[in-house]
Amino acid sequence: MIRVREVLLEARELFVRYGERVVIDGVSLSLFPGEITALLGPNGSGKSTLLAALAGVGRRDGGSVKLLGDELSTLSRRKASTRVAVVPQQTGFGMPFSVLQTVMMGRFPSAGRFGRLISQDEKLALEAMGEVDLMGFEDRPVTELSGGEAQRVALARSLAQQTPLLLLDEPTSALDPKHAIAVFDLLRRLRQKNMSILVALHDVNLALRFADRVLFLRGGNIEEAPTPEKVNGDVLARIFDIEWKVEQLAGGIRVAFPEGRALC
Amino acid sequence: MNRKQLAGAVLVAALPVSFWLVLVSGEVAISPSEIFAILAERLSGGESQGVRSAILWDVRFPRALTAFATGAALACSGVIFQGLLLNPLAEPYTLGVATGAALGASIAITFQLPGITIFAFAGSLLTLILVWGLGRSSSGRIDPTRLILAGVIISSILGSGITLLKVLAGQQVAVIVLWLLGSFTMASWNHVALSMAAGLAVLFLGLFFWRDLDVIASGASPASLGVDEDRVRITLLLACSLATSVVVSMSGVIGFVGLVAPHLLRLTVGPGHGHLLPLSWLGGGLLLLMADAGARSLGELPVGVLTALIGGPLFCWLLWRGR
Repeated sequence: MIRVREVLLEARELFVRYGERVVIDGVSLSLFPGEITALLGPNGSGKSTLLAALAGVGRRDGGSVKLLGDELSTLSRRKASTRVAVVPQQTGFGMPFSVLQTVMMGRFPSAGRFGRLISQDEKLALEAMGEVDLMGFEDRPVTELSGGEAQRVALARSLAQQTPLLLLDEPTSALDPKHAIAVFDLLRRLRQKNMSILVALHDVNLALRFADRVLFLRGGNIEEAPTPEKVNGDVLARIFDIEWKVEQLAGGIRVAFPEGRALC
Repeated sequence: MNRKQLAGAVLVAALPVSFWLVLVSGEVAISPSEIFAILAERLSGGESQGVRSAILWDVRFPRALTAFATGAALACSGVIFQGLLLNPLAEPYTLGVATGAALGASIAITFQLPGITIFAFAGSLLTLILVWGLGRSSSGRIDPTRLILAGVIISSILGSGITLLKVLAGQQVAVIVLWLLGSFTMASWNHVALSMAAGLAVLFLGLFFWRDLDVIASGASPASLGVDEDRVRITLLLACSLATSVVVSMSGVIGFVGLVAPHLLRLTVGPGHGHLLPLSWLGGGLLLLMADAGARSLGELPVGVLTALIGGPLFCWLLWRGR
């Protein structure tokens, strides 16, 4: 299939190994503006490793990652952080900074070392907080938040970075259903603004419902489903080693659930 | 006026008052007007004008300024160590530089070698090299936990060396013990220059990296917010350890300033390094200036005893409050 769209991120022949173990084994992928891409795979398949390598914040032992045309390793850390934001899986907080202070840190890469943070920066930070239902939390110390609130603070900080590319690692793992759906509604709004979003997930149904494209990671390699409709029981069984049933509900929503015994 | 401005105003106002108190008090009373007269005379290039002038210019001024600068350097380093290592118990001595300095000084005292300060500084530097070598991982990355462990282990080994020297030192043991507890009685204008340079270097370097410090201390993944974590850690940890080596070699091991001043101020004004660093510089300086004045008025107690006596309970209170 030929895409005549602008490529935001292009990874070629990516390798990551930890000691003898090859975790990412020659992965190539492209990410486009205005698209939500879901990344699915079993535990330990290297989803987090791949995200970190794509953002330039983790190991990469071979291959290239081009971000807006520039090889990632030639960009300074700060410059790269104005192009790609990462929401990590673990959102631990250290010292008791306030929620607003923490979200404002998302403006640091654009402001540079000594650039003043102006009212526009604060406006962007407050908007980001509004997007994840954190209004009124400005002065709360981040160390006193629940897991779900902390996860939303991390997401707001990444939104404040105002990057064209957003990588999220299990962004809804600590969220209740209301906030999980709210996050995906937010991702859809960001897609409307032509952002590109790559989100690693465990929940197959969130991927089926919200993603434009699904990537499966297994054995260090990528298998692509160009649309969620192409994801069927056979594909899921091959990726997750367990039988799946995929059904269509009234209203067109497709749901997948694991069924029966594990295949190995 | 918010808490930061209030804290800043209180510390800035306390600065001249404290210096004033320290300079006028002592066995020889010197009146405020006399201080101005002597100061004006000295600054215009005049030479020694009698005993009172010498007491003020050659003893009280250097002592007060060295105490202040040492406290400022230790408090600022403490802020940076706690932020970078994400450990509330980290302090300027975490990488073993104080124990190294103590061992160097103990060797010089025991064997009556000239230049205690030089030995202390050398001991401190060698320890830093040793801890750094042991603490960094094979990939060259900085792992805070490894560094802290290496500092603890090397310090305890060197500590046993100091104990051994105390046994061997005979009559010199009292000198070792006094040195270890810290004192500013020997402070000269050279000490002022070196400790001020150390304190200001730590302050300005810390301020240069304040946003990076905020990001690292916030516990975020620093790289994703544009921070080159290893470069910041290496630069600041080494610079603070070096500055600490400089002040400890001259004044001995003065505990608790690098721990208590940062914690007190962080509780008051929050963890943001943009204001925490300058306020700690002032606060740590004032704390040690007043502790030294107290030690002096109590018949030349070692100042380290006083900082531990004040700092220990204060730290207990902080711990109690934070339950």
